[in-house]
Amino acid sequence: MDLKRVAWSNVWRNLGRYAAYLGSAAFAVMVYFLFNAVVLHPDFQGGYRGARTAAQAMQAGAVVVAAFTFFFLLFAHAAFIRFRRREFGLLRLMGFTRSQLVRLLLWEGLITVLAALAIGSGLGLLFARLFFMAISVLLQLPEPIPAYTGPGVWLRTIAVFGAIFTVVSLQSIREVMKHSIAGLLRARRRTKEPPTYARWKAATGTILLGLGYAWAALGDQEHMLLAAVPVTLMVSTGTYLLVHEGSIALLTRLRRNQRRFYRPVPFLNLSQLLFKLKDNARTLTSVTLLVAVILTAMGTTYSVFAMAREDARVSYVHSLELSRIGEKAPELEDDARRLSSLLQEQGLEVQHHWHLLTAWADARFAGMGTPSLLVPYSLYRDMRQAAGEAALPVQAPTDAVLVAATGPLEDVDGEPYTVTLGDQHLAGRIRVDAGRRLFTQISWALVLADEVFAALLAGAPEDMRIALAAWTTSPDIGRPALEAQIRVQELLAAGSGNDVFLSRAEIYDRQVSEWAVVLFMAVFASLVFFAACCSLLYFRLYTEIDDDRRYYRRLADLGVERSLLRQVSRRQLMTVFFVPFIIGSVHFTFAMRALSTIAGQTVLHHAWLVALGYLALYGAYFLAIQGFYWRSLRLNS
Amino acid sequence: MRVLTAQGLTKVYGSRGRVVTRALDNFSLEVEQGEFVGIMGPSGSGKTTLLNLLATIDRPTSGTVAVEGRVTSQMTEQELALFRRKRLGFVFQDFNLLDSLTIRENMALPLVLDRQPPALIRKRVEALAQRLGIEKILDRFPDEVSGGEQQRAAAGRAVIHEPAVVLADEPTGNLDSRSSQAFMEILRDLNTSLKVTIVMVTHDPFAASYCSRVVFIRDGALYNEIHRGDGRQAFFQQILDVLALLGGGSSGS
Repeated sequence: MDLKRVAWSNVWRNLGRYAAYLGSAAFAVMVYFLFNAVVLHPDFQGGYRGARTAAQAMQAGAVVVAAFTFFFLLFAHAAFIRFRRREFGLLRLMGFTRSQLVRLLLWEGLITVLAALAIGSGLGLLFARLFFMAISVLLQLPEPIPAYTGPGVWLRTIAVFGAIFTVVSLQSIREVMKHSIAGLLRARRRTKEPPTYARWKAATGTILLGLGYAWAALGDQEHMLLAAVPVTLMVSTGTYLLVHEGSIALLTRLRRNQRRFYRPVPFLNLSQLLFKLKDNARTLTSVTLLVAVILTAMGTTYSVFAMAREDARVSYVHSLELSRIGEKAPELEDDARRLSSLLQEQGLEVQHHWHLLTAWADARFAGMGTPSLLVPYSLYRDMRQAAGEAALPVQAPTDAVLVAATGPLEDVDGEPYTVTLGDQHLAGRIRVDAGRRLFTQISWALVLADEVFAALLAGAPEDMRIALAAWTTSPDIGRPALEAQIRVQELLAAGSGNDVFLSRAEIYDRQVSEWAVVLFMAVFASLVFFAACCSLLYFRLYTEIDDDRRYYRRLADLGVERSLLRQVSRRQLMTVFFVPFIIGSVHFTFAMRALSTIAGQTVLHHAWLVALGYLALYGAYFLAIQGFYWRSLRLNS
Repeated sequence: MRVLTAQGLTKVYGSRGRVVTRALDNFSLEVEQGEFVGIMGPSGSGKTTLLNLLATIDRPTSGTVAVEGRVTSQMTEQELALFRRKRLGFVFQDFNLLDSLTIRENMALPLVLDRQPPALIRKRVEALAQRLGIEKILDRFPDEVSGGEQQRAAAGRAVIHEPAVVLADEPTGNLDSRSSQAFMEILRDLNTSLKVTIVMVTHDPFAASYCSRVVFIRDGALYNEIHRGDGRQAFFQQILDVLALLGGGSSGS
């Protein structure tokens, strides 16, 4: 029997323990493979709308997945090696030389990497078609992009994960070689000491977490991005300290409360939780932070997606806008009329249609000077009414209403103004209707009484003239609206070179499809994190399954009913699973609170939607593991 | 009063075409209230099988076990668990204390499972600990105390809920001679002062000499039975004599 065979049988024998680890590594390989298939796809070098965004998103995702996998494997592998130290000690004791042990570990590493690569890229190959189909649908391409798994994809995947596994294997070898034979053999004999509570650690943890939360919750928009790194560090450290010290404090307190503690379920649960606390705390912290990271990444991406979608709707005032400047401006009216009927022909119902021939004028008020678009009061009033809002009233004919996209402008309200257009002047008092637009392209509009407007416009030089047309249609956004508008645009394109055409359906569609691809990528990347999270929990349970089996057997022998044992084991698992999820969700809520500050609008409702989705996924994993764990205890045999 | 009755116990292992082993063959045993019975026999004689059947953690191929008149083979799994918890006490060779509980909590376990009020639990644990000489280590964890102390705590756990009978499986098997002697003194004290009924499987003639009666098994059947007369020393000699006749080595289980 040579080393290769020993290594092979080691991996095979440890498969139960390796399974989750190998599974999440293979999953990471698959995702990396698929991302790179997009990055290197010739069709994604441009050509499609949103293709470049997709390729860039996948590239970023691939880097994140590779970096995360590296750290995760380093951590997970170290845990395995620690677990198997005694076994290596025995091999050395039986006369294995150092170089033989190194070679054994290298073989094991090689088998693992080959398995992960084979499974991962095999799955990648299998799902490539589906993956590209999904992206084609998201980008709303007329026909699906053909799948691509060129040599570059393989080369990158093998090179990157080969390197990751090499470093991880070398690190594990270094770890084993560090110890003497006696040190290796002693490894797992150590008994668990009862945990002790350190007040200063708990205080430090509380302060760090409190400061981190306060910063995230109360910081201002300008400095929030800078806060991300220190807040993350504070919250991570605070979490570890608080999970550790907090659970000691809490559990010890509960244990002292005899009336509560001296009942079957708490009695067994609390003592067992305290007993395993040191080992649990590390996993609990890792899982907590992973949950927070997954939720925050997904929550952020989804919120940005939702905000972009909403933004497209809000910043485009009308479904469709057309404008023309200069001498040909007056001809727009005819074209607009034609366009209205074309829209109807394409099946879009025109709910409102506005047309305006006007000019830019130089307005001065409250020490400011700005070119403003002149608008007759009747149009202003009608537009506001169509939006279901009241127009600002004016008293004197020379009074004007400033409709400004930005605001507030309280100090301008009631101030005198002057308007100059060509050689005509006008003066009066100004009222402010801030935070609104009459047309998407217009930030400043000066509303004048109809007759004043007509008089001013009559003397406007030709080059200051502008014509605007706007439509509100139903449907407004979505595929049919977009297609109808594109056709209308094509029909109209002939002859009018310097027209500006703005379509809400188009911007909405672009935002949605580009962000949908980013969101799609983020889902895959976060699933890698999620798989890692699940495998950490799995490994924690698997490592202790022998001890747990003995524990529950002893209780069963003493006559404890199976139903009570099941209850105790379920509570234990629930603690290990859901305490991190709850704490992670709290972290996440504060992160989203910070994002709301940055975005200037609340995103919590988007964020919680994401959290609920993950809770469902996590809950399903819990149920599966719970059944598996109970069967593994083999109390029925 | 008769506490334990085992009648015609037979246990056959490994059917379905494989080699059939008859671990117990039509074995009967009766134990009176307050008795301290030892069970001895060579390796593979069926001692452990017998104890498992008495402990209701294994079912006989034929025959019955009755404790306080209740036939255990007629109980459901759930009833058996409850019965074990309330009416039986166990002492194991490897102590079987739960590492996550303190000595106090380990002793209290049967009463906690029985939902007794904490004040009563406390009183009983402390009184019993006094008797067992472990009152100073009550708040330590099992791995912080000696094997002898762990076994005494296990004995405390076995009797705290006043079971009908305590079943002990090689209780001195993991103890040095001094701790063994101390532990047997404790068992005898529990037997004589608290009238605890004990059935103990052992291969140690010294430990067996503390019993009031010793039953010898060979090849799954009763071989001999001796009662203690005047002194422990004489009884010890008697046991050694039977063991010599029994042959086949008395060690192992």
